[in-house]
Amino acid sequence: MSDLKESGFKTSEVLSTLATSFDKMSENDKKAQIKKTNGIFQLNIKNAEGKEGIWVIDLKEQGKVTKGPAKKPDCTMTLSDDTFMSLADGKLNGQKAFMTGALKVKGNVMLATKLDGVLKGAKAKL
Amino acid sequence: MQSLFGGADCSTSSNPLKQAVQRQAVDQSLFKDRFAVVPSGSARPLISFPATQLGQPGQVHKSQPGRPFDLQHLSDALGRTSSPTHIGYPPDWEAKWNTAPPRLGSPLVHPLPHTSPSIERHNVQTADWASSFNPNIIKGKGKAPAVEQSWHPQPPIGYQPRMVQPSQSFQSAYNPHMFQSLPPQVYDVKNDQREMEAAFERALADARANDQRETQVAPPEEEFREAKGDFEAVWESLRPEAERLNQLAQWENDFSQFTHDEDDLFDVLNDSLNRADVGQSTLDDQMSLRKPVEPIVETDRMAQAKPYVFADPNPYARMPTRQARKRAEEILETGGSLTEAILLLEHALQDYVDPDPAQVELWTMLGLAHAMDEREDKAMSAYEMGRKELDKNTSVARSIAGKLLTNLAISYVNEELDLPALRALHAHLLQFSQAIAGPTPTQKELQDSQDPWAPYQRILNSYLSLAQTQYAQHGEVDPDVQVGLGVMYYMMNDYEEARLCWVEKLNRQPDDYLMWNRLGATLANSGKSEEAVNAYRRALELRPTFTRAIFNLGIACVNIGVYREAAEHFLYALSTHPSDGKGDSTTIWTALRQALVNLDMGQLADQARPGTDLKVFKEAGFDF
Repeated sequence: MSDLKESGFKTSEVLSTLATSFDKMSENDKKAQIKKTNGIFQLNIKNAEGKEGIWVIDLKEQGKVTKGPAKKPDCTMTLSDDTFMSLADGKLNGQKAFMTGALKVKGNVMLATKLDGVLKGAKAKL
Repeated sequence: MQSLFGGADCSTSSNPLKQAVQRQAVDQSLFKDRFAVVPSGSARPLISFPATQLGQPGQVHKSQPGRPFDLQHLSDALGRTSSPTHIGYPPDWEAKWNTAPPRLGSPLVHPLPHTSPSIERHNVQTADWASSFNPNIIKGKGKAPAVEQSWHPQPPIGYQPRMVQPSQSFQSAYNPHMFQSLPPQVYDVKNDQREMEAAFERALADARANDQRETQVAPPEEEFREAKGDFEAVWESLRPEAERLNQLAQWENDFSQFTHDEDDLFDVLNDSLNRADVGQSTLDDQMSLRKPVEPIVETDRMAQAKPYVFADPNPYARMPTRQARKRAEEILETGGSLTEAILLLEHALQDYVDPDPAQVELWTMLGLAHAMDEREDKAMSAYEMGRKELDKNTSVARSIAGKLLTNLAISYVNEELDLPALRALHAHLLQFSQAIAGPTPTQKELQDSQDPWAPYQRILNSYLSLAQTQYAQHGEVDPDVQVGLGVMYYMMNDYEEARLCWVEKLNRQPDDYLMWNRLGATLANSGKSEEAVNAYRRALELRPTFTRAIFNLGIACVNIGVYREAAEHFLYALSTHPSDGKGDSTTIWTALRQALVNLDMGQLADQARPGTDLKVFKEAGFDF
């Protein structure tokens, strides 16, 4: 999954780990995850140097992470590398990022509220 | 996120670390590896509890198979990995840091505060701790003022959760045991935690204080402060990062202030909305089980709670129902087999033909028992049945309705069914008044491109203003309102605020095992699995048969990267379920499968599905 990685993008590390965990899932588990999320996320990430990288998390058709723009994303999110990392680490919540303009969402915005669940492989239960 | 990192570290067969894990139940190097690689908060080895104390097998659950709870080795490992941190830093520490080889520099220098321990970890010197201690720093900022500060985001009006304690009481209430069983230096690890940790500790201390076994003398205060001072020194050297973070914290503070300031405006807005709301269909019409498929199956995937199916035959069928209920209540209050409690409650419920307010309470208890037993589907069905009864009876006490609806919301949240969760919480708010509850959250609102989080914020604000009113009037907040507030924060991924809600509840009721588990889950989901372990452990001390806490413990182990431990916890959780193979333990099987895959036990993973005899895993060498 190293092809997902791109130097200068911390996001790519997280995404390639996510991709690995998708690869390891059994077909049924993957299907369950797809059913739960049912969306194609396109992430337009801008890094510190101002470079843009595009990744796609497909949790609608195949259950995998790819590089480059999606044909038909349900939800396109534009954010910085650092913002993504803060979201992924749970240090920033989506709403705050969205309200302050750090996260821009196009398409089905409701999917944006699900990003946290997607990035967390196994979630503990209340 | 932790699980993802974990997966990367030791999931491939070529990784030698992985093999090491297979040989040893606990492998320190795994942690070290993580600390070096992971660029996030996971590097924080919190030891909130003295491992030696809690891990002692048989202290509480003597009758239980010790192993699944015996986390001695795990916590030891955590302790060991972190112990070098406690050793002091020579004066030239900073210089060394600056010249540190790139291996240390690049992966570790992450502009987030949590990395500081990992930086320390890699720069440890064996110099005497005390000699490097600079007495001038003793007066460094104590924890207590910080504690108070952190409450600023709370609404300034009326509502002041009683969590904040003056620093003196913090010191005195702090259980001596913790200081004695661990070297005082341990506390410098904890200093990298945010302010509220003090309150968390206090909750632990309270809990502990109730414990008769602990009668030890207060620790020398100085040592505690020394630890702090030492940390301050290190912190100073990392000032640029700290400042960056302070800015972020400040910003967050401002933001919360800003959102809370809106409350008044919101109330006005609410009132006007409600007038328009008068003609709308009631919540009952919208959510009722009598029209099962209707609004719940909107465009979002919304699982409809299935009608509850009773176990048949029920081994307790001959017991008088009153006795069955009493026995079930005993089990839920004092601990015991959840399966037994569930069967007893089911039996007690079958006694009712006509609507009866008492049923609501029984369904709630049944739902809770299922949730504790890690059977969310069953729990949701039971709660929904209870809600149906609630709709038929207007005379149900608010506390019972509140317990039912907040727990129903929690089940939905766990399944990431946000809209039904919001609606359940809205129904809870309706128990107080229409004006507070506002309009029912709709799917359309969640798809609003201006702010899909608006309905979340709306319900959150309702809870906040309700809590404020209650506090102003009675000096305390309804526990269910407190839970509702916590759930809302949790749903919005505001884990820090959610945590404060649970801690506040624990301050009042240190024995609330459900809350300990919630605290753990909140910590784990915000990337603090190491801390979560302690909270789960506390829950399990109070209720050794709390399957959900065992399951969560397994998840925490997955996140930390100890898959074998994780698998054993999952297997133990499964062993508490009757092996009827009816598929209501699927979440645990799924988790077990993932853990086995990460252990490169593909063949065994294939067998990890409902119906498989657990003997298979015993034979494969798993100890549970």
